[in-house]
Amino acid sequence: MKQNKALFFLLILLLVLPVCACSDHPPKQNRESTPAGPVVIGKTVYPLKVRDFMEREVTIEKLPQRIVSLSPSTTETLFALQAGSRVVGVTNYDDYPPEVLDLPKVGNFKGPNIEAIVQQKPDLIFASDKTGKEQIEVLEKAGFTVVMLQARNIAQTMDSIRTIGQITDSQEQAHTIIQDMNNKISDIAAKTGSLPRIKTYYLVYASGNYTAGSDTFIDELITLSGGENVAGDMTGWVKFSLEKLVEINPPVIITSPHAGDLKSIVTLPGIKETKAVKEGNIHMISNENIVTRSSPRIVLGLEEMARYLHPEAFE
Amino acid sequence: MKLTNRSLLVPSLMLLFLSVAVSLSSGAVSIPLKEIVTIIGGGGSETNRIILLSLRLPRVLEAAMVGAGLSVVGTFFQGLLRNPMADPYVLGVSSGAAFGATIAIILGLGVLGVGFTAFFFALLTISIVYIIAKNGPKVTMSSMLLAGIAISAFMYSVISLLMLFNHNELSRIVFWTMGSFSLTGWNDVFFSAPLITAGCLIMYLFARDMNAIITGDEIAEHLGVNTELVKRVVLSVGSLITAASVSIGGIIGFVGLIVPHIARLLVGPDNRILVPFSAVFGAIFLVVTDTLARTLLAPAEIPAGIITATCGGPFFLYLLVKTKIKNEGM
Repeated sequence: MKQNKALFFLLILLLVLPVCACSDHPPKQNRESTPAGPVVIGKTVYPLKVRDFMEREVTIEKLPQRIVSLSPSTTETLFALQAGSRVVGVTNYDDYPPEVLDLPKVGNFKGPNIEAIVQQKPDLIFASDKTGKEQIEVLEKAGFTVVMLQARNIAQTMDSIRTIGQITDSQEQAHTIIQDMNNKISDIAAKTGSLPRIKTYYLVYASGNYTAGSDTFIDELITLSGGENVAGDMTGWVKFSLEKLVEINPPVIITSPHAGDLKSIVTLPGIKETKAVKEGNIHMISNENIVTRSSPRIVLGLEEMARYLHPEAFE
Repeated sequence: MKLTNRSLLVPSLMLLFLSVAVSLSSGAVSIPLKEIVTIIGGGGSETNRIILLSLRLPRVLEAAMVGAGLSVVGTFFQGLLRNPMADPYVLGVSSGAAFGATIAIILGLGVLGVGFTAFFFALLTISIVYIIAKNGPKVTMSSMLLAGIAISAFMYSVISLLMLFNHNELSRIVFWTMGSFSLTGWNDVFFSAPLITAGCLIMYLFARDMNAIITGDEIAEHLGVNTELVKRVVLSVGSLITAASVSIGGIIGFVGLIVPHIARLLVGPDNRILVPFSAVFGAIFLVVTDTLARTLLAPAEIPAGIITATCGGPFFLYLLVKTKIKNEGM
């Protein structure tokens, strides 16, 4: 029972802290993770020194052959960079691309499982900001090379892709992916830029009416697709007032399968009175991972979002 | 002495009325009292009509209802179990509700489904506790308490296990258990108001018997009280009220624990007076809490359960220190 309460408390802290803390640490835009100087695309020379997202310098002695990825977004990126065959361990939450489901699991939401990681004999571990500093310390003390990645916006996502590309000697692929992403973003900007900004509400959970404020991918995607996030002046994940929602009366509501069943969502008091529901403009993103994960797929989320916000631009 | 106690009733009711009025007018969107009158009269702007009539009014009424219900149940349970630590959740009703809600969330049953499943499992859990604790025709309160604690511990560990396997739903489950009235609609009020009102009235019929039972079962029997009947009615009706409350507002802690104590400090231990006061104070407490939940960070909301615990805990400690409550006051 005591343990339970402690767990609950911890969870609450975990859920509440980012909301309070984020405003003090605005996301660093265009963070340079590569050494200064012009970007040269080419073969990676080892040993390679990388400055990771915890401001630590990590030396990678040779091309990593056995990679453990402790975050689904890193795994997606590795596979997109065609370095997937060198991944030997992922977390329980990895689900894309489908072949990762068969890879050994070395971590769950409680963090990495050190024994399972040791068993895979990795020569490189990609951790994320969700891994936890203590866990990273433990892994380093065990003699592993750990690179910490963190991406809270698309610019940082591209930085991560670049860094991973450099480490795995797939700089060209990284360059292509980032170029494709940038093309998609400017394509959508060109289509929607001149159109009126659509006030958009994003429903994260129906139970409790949670939404996404600034400093989330969802907020960024709404802005990039020619929308205006109703909760944009709040930070992180917030429980939004239904009363305020009725007052703002957004013409579009976006949600994901994670929020619950669309049929029951449109009957909820407060939501059912909005213009969005009355005019049938409540839409469900096909997969919430494409609007929340810092992976190359984030632009797919962007396109879906833009099509819902400005269908006229895609006719 | 009785007279001064009763004279508190009118100011208390006025305070309740005032807190409901303030609560109706404040929120993420503030509606002046004048406009509230206009809206109730059938006028006012369309947006504010929706906000007041379909969102805020049911919510405020439900908060008042749940606050009153939980406080009355808390008062009776503290007496019945002769334990100042008792609250409506002590027998495991809340753990059952949380278990039901967890299952419903994992299965994706929607908001209504979550409430219904929570209600069902709350009643199922208390029935199991009752069956376990029943010894022949008699129910001993200490085994009831122990069984309740054991089942709660078990239920919460199963919930943790379920959360472990369903990480995606973890935050929804945690948010549910924090308690909130943010999604309360008229359906909830129509379902719970008759249950809670009738339940409280039935329990109040036993207020005098409860006075006797607090002094001891044997004494009560000598005074002609059918203690087994009282226990059975109070336990079942109390659990029903708690289950209804929890299935709508989630697990809102502290109300059922501290409000009875505060009421006892103010009006004394006689249940015939204490129970109505508990109800009124509980209603005020939760209406105020919910108002804070809606306004403190507006347009963001805070789960009401967090506020009841953060405000209720220190306030209760203050009262404890100030008056040095003695157990005999129970």
